Amino acid sequence: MHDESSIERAIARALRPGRRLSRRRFLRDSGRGAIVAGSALSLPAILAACGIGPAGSTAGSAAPSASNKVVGGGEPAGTLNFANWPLYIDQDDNGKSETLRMFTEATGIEVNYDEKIEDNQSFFGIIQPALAAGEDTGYDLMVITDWLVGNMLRLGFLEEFDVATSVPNFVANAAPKYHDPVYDPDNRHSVPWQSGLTAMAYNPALVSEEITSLKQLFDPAFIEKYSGKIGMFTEMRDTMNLTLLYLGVDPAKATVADAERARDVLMAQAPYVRGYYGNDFAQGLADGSLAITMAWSGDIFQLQFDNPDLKLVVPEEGAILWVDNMTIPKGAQHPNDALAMMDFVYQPEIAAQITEYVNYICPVPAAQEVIRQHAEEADNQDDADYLNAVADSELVFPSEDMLSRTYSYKVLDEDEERQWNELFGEVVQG
Amino acid sequence: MVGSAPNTDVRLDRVTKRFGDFTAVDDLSLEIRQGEFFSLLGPSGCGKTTTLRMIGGFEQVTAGSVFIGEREVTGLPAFRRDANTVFQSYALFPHLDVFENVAFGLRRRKVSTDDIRQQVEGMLKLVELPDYGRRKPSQLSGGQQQRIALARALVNHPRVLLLDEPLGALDLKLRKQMQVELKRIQGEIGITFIFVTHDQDEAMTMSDRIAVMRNGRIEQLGTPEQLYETPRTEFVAGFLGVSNLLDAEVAVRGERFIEAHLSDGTRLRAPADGLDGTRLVRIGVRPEKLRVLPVTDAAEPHDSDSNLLEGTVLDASYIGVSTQYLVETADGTRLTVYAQNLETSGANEGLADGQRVRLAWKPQHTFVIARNTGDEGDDQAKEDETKDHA
Amino acid sequence: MGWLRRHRSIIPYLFLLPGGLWLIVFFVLPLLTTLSVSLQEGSLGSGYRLTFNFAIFPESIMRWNEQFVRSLQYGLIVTILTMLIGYPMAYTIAFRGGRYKSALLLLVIMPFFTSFIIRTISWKFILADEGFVLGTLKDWGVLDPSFRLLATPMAVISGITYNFLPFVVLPLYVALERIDPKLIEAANDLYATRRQAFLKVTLPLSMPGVFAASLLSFIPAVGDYLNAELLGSRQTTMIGNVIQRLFLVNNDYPQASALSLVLMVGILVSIFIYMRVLRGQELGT
Repeated sequence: MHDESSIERAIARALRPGRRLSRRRFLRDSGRGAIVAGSALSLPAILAACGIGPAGSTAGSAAPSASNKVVGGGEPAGTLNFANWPLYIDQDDNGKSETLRMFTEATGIEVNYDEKIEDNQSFFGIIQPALAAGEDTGYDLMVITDWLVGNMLRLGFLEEFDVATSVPNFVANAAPKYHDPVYDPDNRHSVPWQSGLTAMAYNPALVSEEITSLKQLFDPAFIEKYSGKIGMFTEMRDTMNLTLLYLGVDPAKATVADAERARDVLMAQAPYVRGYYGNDFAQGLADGSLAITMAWSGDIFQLQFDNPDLKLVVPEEGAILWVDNMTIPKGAQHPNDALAMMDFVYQPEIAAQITEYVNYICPVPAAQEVIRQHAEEADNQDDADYLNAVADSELVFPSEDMLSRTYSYKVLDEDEERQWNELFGEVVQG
Repeated sequence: MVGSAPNTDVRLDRVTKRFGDFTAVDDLSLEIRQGEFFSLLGPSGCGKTTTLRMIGGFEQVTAGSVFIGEREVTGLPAFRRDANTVFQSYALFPHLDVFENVAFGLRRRKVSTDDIRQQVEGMLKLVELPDYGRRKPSQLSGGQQQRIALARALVNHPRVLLLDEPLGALDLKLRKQMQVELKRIQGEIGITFIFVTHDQDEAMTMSDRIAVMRNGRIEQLGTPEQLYETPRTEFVAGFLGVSNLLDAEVAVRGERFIEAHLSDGTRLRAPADGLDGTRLVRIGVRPEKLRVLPVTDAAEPHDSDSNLLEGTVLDASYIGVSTQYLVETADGTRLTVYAQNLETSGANEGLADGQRVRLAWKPQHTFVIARNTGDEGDDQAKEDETKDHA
Repeated sequence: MGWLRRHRSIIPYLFLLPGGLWLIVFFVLPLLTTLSVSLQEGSLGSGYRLTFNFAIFPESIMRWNEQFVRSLQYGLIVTILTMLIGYPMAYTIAFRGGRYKSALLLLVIMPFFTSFIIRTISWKFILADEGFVLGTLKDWGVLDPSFRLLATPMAVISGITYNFLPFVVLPLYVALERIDPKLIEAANDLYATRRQAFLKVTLPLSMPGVFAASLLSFIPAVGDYLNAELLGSRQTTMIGNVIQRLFLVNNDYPQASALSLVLMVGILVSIFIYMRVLRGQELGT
């Protein structure tokens, strides 16, 4: 199942030798990761589809285990089954993670780290039958994107915990923005792992104006000039939510009528759009096929090493802050071990270690100083430059001002999700 | 050298064909008369098929000219030559039925549909398969396919019909039958046939004239009788039938006969014609021309005009119509003798193994060939090597 | 053993068993599952229930009519293009390849040694607007700066054509290689020019290869989504892309299954018509 992603990585490596790579970029979210990985990813989804028929028809929509017991406060069992995305933690050349090693050393908990999650939808397809049947998924800790947190919460598929007593480092060290998110009030089921921005980027070599507003991405008078050079995202949530910001609507409060307006705007824009991209938008921006495009912050941070002129824009109207969260699936066998891991990575030293490697937005502001310190201690100039670049980047440690202009994805219920998918389907596929 | 004599249908003028380093046909000239049944005979790799293919236009000459009738066709493609071919494997079109196979050439020449029907049906009758028009070639036996291949070629009334070992794939009985059939059809329509074969019996039975080929050249050309009775080279003598050859030296040259001496002094006479000034010769005689006589003490020549040679019977085998003897002469040469069983039956009473005998034959049944004609064994080996080129 | 000996005639059918089981497990069962899923309603979160929602088929066809037609169109164009390019290739290798035949065939299948996806992605690199090829031509002023190949129907069709060309060349080669060259000589001998010999002998005899090759390009081409995804745009969306998105992005398994079945039936109908036309032509000659 990992083959295609490693192939894609190999291509990227060939193109940018010797660079530390943005790991997450290759597999971010459902859209393109799944498409490019085509045959590889379709299998679990199809298997899930086959399995879901009977499971769904017997278990129906009834929420499983009715226990609303709060987990935590107990002794760790000594084992942690951790599902995460590929290349989403620090790893040396042999694939060994220093963070996981230190965790085991500090807590005595052995970690079964499984890079199982290639995109939210298909991973959910894999664990859904077990959750629907009220059984253990085999995982104690999993990293999923905020909207899926919201969905699973609604379905009763996540364990609840007391963040104040079980994850004290989160309370102490996480940036204020990450407390009490809309998708999980009071962080009773999730704490962030890493996050990123869905915003826009442009190539000044191909665009004469300075880009500051979403109007410049949607206004026909403007985009006509860059027709065929404009990129949008194939991921429904990214594109729909950003379009709502253009319409001046807070996504969290968006109605279906708003979504229909967003669809209309996107349809009007479609003739000028070159394509609806996933991870490959970065390639398009790098090779000049795209002039203006929707963009993920982590990718732009990486592209700027090769082309410092490329610009990420947090538009006047705002941008989307997506958050990947650590959560405990219902029925997990080792919840105390999972909570121990959540607390462990909220130490600034550990957060810095992960961020130096993955380059996404770090939820622990204090990690910035740690990275600067690492830069001073670095034994060669290349490493020092690189670490300083990470510490200084607004794409890794955004300012409060920048964060204040960000919004979360709307959490969709089942009907809304179907409606939005249908609306967006018209946009990307006619 | 333009045009040909009016009664010549095909003429090759100093034709050479090379495939890379290999010379398949070497400076060959040939004239084939109108209405003739002409055979190109030789072992594989001798250039006979290449010669035929150059006449048909499937191969273009490396040097020389080809004429069909009065027209020079050198360089013309097959479809512009007034010659049709019956291929070794018949090459019937498997996707077309028998009727369409036969009609193929007529359709290309835009003959009207009615004429086509009439001519094809006529031709199917000629080859005695009148009701087979709607069959596919795969539904026919080998012999039937052979007839259709013939009909397909003949329906176009070509000036020349080229046949490339057409009977090679048939079993012996069918083959004999088709030989007669071919002769009959040729007689009926009077078209020139050029027939390629490696089977000397077939060539002898059917041909008006035969060109025996070897190493891309014509070894000898003549009627079957000429080739058999007076072969001019050791190769021809050996290729057509069985020959007994004796090393000899010419001693006396007469007007009609020469006299040659074997190493033991035996004197033999042979016709003088066709022999140049060569002194070292081989004296040849066919096994069936020899008569075996017992040697009596009072050895008187049975017939003073005959050639006589003494030897010892090494082996006698009775094969029904005749008895075959192997006789060794004084100098160790072994001769084969076919004796008709006219008066004897069963085991020959007089001629047991080891018996001294005297062989007698008429001088006019003797042929003489020059001795330094190369070593046949080597040539055969070379021909086998180059088989694949043909 | 004794039983088998007594029922000897059953033995040939036993040889069908492994293949039959294989097809049942990996073809019939998935097909039935797909049919069952297509008739369900619900969502991934709350599960799906079998409601025998047959209306989904006409609805699917209506909703994605445009993509269906486009897929069939692209499939047809690709089949014609691969045939026009592949036939001369196969012909040359079969009749003029000589001792280089094997080497040439190896070259034809060489692309298979790298992943389908990698090959298509590399097209993206090569044909990028400001990439090596177009960028250079634009710098020289040969091409207008706004010219592009990617994200056009042409790019998608070229991509599919390229990817399926070996599937066309190989069966055509096999069919042509089996033709006895003597048959072509025989045609020439019977007054057929090169052109006529080709039209009356070579072409009809290679028809089984043409038939196999056209199916091997048409079927996967109609169902392809990767080329449209990587090289195309919204205007080149094929039915495969719709199914892919419904399955993997929207998790709308019933709709996706229904479309897959409609596509399958559509392809079967096309092939049926094609076979009828081909058979008719054969009788016509």
